[in-house]
Amino acid sequence: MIDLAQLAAVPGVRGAVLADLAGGFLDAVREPEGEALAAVAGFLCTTVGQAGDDLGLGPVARISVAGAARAGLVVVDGQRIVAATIEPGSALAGVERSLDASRKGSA
Amino acid sequence: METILQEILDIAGVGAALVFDGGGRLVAHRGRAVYDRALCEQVSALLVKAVDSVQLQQEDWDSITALFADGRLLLRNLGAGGGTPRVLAVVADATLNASFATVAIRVAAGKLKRAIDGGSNASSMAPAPAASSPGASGASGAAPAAALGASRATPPPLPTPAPAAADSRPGLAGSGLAWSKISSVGLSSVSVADPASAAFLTRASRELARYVGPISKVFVEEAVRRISSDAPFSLPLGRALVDELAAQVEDPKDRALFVQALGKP
Repeated sequence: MIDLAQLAAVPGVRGAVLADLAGGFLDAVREPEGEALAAVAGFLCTTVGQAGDDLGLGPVARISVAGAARAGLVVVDGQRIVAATIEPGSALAGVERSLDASRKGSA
Repeated sequence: METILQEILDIAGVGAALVFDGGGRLVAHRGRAVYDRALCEQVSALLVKAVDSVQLQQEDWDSITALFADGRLLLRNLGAGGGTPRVLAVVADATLNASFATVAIRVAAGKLKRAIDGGSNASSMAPAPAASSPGASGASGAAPAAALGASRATPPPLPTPAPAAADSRPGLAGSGLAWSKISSVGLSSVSVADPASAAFLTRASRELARYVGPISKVFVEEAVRRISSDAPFSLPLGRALVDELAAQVEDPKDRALFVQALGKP
């Protein structure tokens, strides 16, 4: 299970939001645009998940977005998602590694 | 363009490589037999919605990577050469060497951008020759591309919206919405002229949420900025706003219900 506070504490994470798969806002840490981010993340997971179904890729687990000004990460955890805004550059890879490590640790 | 897509398809683990435009139309594709043109067209229509949603938050996005249980989907922004946004999508299975593929796809995306910027669009849109590799379904041409949202339907006329409550934040309590009365560039606030206008935006967002979910607020904010970029939103712009928002409702019956609901006092 993804812990919102734990993710928000990873170096490079600007803020994080907990939402349901429909994009409904549940909680946020250091994220002033929490509702908007939750809605976009929910919509993104839904559409990309549908594409993955059509392509036979199975359920979506994680979506990352990279750009010049910032990066983003959405992690699907059952019926909930955690979306994080991340510093641009190499921080995204670091956050993904941290997530993988914490999941292996809890498995 | 097909040659470049074939280079991507030659990467171990890649099942298909396709380019779609801002209207969700397939521009070109190469893929194994299972990833035929019909499937790629279907997926393009879905992925453009995903890209649109990302652009609401991050217009300068460069790449989107989706990790699935049995594979990956990698999207690269090819820019809007010639005025038409295009996206490269690569479908891969779990055997993909992500580090190697990232570099190879970045190189290929650069080539595609140069090809598009160099004016080779016309040739890339033409029907392509049969695929040369075993198991490949071949490349596809497509109809001329259009800008985002160009094909949206026009909704029926709307009665003038009636003024709402006189409180400074009417109807906002408990709604999770917070329309600002001052100018802002943030996603969570837009400029409104008066309380009635704020109430109308709240109502529009609620009605739209019936059909598109919580992202309705984002759609409303974006629409307000499009139709009222230089001045605070006011009720006389209500019809234009509903016209914009109605385009987000895919089903014609739902669209009519949405417009009808916002026409009531």
